[in-house]
Amino acid sequence: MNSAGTSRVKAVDAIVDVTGTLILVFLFLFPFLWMVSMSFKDRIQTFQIPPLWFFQPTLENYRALFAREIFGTYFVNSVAVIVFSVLVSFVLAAPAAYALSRFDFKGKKDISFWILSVRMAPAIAVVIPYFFLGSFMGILDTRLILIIAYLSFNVPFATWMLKGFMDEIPTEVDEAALIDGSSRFQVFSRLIIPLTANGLAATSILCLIQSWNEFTFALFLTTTEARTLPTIVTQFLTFQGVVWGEMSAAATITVLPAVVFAILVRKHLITGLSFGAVKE
Amino acid sequence: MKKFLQSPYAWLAPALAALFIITIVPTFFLFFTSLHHWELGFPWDERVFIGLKNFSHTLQNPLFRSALVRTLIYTVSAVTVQFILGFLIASFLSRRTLLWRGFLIGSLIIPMTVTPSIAGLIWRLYFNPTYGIVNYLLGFINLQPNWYGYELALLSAVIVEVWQWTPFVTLILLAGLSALPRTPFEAAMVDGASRFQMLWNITLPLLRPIILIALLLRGMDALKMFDVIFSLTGGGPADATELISMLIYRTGFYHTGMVGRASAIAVFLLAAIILLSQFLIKILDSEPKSA
Repeated sequence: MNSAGTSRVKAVDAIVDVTGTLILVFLFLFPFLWMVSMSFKDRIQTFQIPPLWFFQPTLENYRALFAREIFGTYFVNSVAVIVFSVLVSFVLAAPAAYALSRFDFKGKKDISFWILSVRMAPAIAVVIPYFFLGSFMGILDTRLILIIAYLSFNVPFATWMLKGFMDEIPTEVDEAALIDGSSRFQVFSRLIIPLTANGLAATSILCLIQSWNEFTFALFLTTTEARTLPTIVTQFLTFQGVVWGEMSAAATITVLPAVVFAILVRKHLITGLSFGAVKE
Repeated sequence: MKKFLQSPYAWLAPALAALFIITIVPTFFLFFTSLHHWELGFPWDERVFIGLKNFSHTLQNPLFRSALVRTLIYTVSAVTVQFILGFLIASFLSRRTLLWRGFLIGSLIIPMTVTPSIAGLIWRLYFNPTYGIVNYLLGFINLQPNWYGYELALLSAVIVEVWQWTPFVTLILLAGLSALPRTPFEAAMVDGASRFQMLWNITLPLLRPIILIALLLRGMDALKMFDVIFSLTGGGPADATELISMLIYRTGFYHTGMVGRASAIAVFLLAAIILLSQFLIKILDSEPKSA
């Protein structure tokens, strides 16, 4: 090809690349950024037509949000529920993942696929028995019932993910240690766990994100005391007319931790969301 | 202790016992309530065993039928758009000349991490016919649709689902595309195959398992969608966006307290999800695990 042709191809490539990039940013990033920008607008700016693209930002919405007592309560609940649920999940899931990764036994495949399918159960179906069992036990509207409920998706997810990470460590490593006289538990705690540290971190962050974003259990199983941040939407649904700025502030604060965490584990995000089916 | 830990079941026992208590026991309880007439607020002792009546009632209930049809329309249209758009974007992202790929992938990650209930709430504002950004932008092409009306409400729910989860399908397909072997394409080029022929006869068949996994995962999530609908439309206006999960919520908790009937619908939903997850497991089982 002559040089004029090459440069024409290059120009076409550049145009396609730039146009595509702009379209993608507009479709997927812009709606998010617009939410963030609304959270910095005052009431008059919010309802201006045409909408304001540049404006003097205000922190008024955040001040109003933080002044609501429920915000602090919801935030602390979210953090407490998630930390405990993820910790307990790992105590249960790590040994199970070890068994599925390192032992050969009857029914292994069935057990691992059963664990995976538990993760898929629809929350809206499971929440009905949770509601009544919780009320019989008197633990509705406590952090405890949410911690338990969140185990139902965190344990299967963590088991499945950790098994994948453990599978990547060659079995020779632990066989050598076993021959040297280490016990199974020593192999697990001193070899496998340190060697999968990255996987543990990525998995725990993915668990954090999905627990942080969970809505159905939180809506049904709590009323006031143990509510978490995603249910803050119920505060706004009835009088949505006027407080767009504050809604956006609440939305931004709720969404931000999940987004930051997701960017941190972006390499594992698709593996996690596809339950290990797709490795990047 | 040492001997005990030689058995894989010892390592599995805590997780399996926990999962049994927190998932199997509640599922049985769900079956149990689905066989009873029992209303919210009444003592547990006043339940009446009615056999399968809740199930036969559900199957004849026009509300259930229309919710089912609506859920299928919602799921199929969302997943179809996600697949087509996802494939286009994935092909675009695998262009060799593309700068800023990392930035674009970062931008794609954001929608799927947004808390779903929040996504519903925010898009509710965007769809506002007077002050929303959507109609402001559509104004440039002289469109002012009423997203809060009966006709477009379901479409608005599909749009939110497409916004949030097209990136997921995209990134899965991108992983698949980048792992494709080069030899079949080189051979086809030598044979003078057209771009479309290569796409149809090589790319898509090779990506088949990955495509199925992506579509099944999204389909299952769409079938049970609750949080986005709850905050976007609340199932309304009237019943315009009342999907199966909203129907369970309204039957069992919100409008009427018919817990037995809600449980029966939930059992149907659970069965559908279990069935689809068996398909998924079959694919996971038969294919090598990496893309």
